[in-house]
Amino acid sequence: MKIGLVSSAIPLVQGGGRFIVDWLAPKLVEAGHEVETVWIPQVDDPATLFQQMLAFRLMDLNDSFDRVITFRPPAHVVRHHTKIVWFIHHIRQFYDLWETDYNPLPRTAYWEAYRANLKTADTKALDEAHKIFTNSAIVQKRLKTFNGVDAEVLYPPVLAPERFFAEAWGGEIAFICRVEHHKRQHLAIEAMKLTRTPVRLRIAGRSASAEYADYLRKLIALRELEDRVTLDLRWISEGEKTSLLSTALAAIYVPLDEDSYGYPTIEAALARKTTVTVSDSGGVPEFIIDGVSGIVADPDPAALADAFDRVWTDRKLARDLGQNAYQRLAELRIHWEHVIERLTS
Amino acid sequence: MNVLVLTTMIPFLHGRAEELTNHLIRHMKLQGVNAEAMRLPFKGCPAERLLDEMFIFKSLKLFNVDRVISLGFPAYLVPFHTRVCWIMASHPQSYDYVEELDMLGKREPRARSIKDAVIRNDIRSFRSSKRLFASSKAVQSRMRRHYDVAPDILVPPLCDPERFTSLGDDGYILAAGRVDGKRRHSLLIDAMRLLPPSAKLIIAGRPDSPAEARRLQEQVRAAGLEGRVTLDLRALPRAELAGLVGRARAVVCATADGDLADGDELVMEALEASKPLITTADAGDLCNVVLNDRTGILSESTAEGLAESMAKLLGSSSEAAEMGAAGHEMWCSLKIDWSTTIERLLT
Repeated sequence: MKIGLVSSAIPLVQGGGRFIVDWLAPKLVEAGHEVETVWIPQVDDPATLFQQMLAFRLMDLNDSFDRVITFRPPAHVVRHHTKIVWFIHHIRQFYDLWETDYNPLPRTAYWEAYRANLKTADTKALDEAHKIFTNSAIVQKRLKTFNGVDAEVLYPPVLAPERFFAEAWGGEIAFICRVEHHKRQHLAIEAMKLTRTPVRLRIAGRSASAEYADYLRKLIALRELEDRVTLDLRWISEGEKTSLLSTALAAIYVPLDEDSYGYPTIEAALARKTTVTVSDSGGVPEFIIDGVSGIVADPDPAALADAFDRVWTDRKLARDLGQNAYQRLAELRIHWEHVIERLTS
Repeated sequence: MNVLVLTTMIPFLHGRAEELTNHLIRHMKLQGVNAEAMRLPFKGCPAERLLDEMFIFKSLKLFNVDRVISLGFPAYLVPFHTRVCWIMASHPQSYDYVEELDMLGKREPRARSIKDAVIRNDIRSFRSSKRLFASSKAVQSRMRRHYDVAPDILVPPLCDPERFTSLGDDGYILAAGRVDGKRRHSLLIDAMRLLPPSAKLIIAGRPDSPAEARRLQEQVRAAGLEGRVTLDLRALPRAELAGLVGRARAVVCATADGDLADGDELVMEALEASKPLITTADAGDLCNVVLNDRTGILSESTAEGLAESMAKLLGSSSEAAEMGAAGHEMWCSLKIDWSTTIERLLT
């Protein structure tokens, strides 16, 4: 069938919101479908958000596709006779982050009304959908709480999972993702100061913030960790990534309150590596069960340091947790066959 | 510099417009520019729909971009402070709709007001653009007529110039590319009837319809030219096409009122590969890149005229090679290449 993948994007920015679409497209083609991807530029600017949503809403896609699948908001407001919504997050400042410091808007009557209107518009668009999926149980719960909508969790797999392999459980913990403050690379560096074993840490990823990158560099120097912490501020190649993971001791992924388990967690599991995470990381504990498929530590350097030391000291534990993480992929049906079946049925 | 190329999409239609867009991105990246294309769905009929479409494009917002290059209607309506409009013959353009609405407007006042809205929006967008380019003289004059604007001409270069080079001379004349009525292949077949049996012509390319293919096959058969005119009617892989151009004696393009970057890329391919060109005096823009008797021949657009021109180039391999070399030199001096083009788009 003819399938349109419709999502919003910030031009020239890569990341999870792009990958879920870019990785799905070839899989649908492999399954015999004709696929066209539509990226629509978008800005999270409250002053023009409704105007932009109206533009999405007015696009005429009915004749072009047998089915459309939407991803990042506000793509779900497009109209189509068979609209599948694979919801990856709300425009969060108006939803779960409304009462937090991440919301710079004053909580005046105007913005309360604005927020209520946004909620109404989102709910209406979701109600029109043929089916609604979410990328995590957290987002599923938020849809229920805020929009009163039931959705099925459909975990997104990664590109070509068969590439990943395990060769050894070495001495290094791999921290592979974008280098941003909310990914909290600084927390891992602080933990390294408190470890009692010679465990090593490798941070790899590009940073959009020169300031944060610089801060990390200084932090490593200040804590005199240059010989045990590697900071590689590049978008490493896929080949480098599989190779790093194949010999890593474990992975670490400690974002602040993320919407899903995070691709780094899945990539590590594919290489039979466990992930050390923290309890306030949002969706990561959906995949990482403490003591079974990984370690969920308290979000402080001492607890993380202790987790690092545990996997370094007990390689059998590292290996077992990694093996269980790999099993967990099948348990949660994080594979393309399942995704394609659900999205096209 | 972050460059966003904006254009429209008709889902599942992949043609010349998509190819040019992709190569523009490819060449910008090769030059170290951070570039991405976004293709937005667009539906041009019924006419009423144009109002919605213009509203949609005007309502979108951009972030994280330093320069926008818009290739057509209504993509250039997306507001942005440093927007360059490059109006391409290969992409859907509003003058097509304006001309159609003009006809309708004689009977329907509604069509007239839609047309006025299109023109009003376009003019505002063109005037607020940092630069305005047209891909050919024909596009430039239509824009002048409908919008009273004066774009500079910026011809899109050949997508893959690196493929085209002379590989020798196998003595045949080549007509390659799109096979449709506009390119007058049947006139070439008629010309072949007037040439001695040693003359060889290869017509290679994808026909616009099975009917067009049958018509040419029938014409060749009826004229008894089977051994001398080769019809290779399919979409040729680019490498194969480059081989055919590279080994030709000369290249002929008989399009009336042609466009270098929209259907007659063959002319650019021949110039890259140092092959002499035969075009007709009524070829429009194409005449500008052929210096008669120096880089090729500007022929009359009759079978007799074309036969005479072909005979001349078939008669002397060395003269043809000389013309081809002169043509290549002239072509390089025009600087219709990607680095010059990208520089003009980004300064």
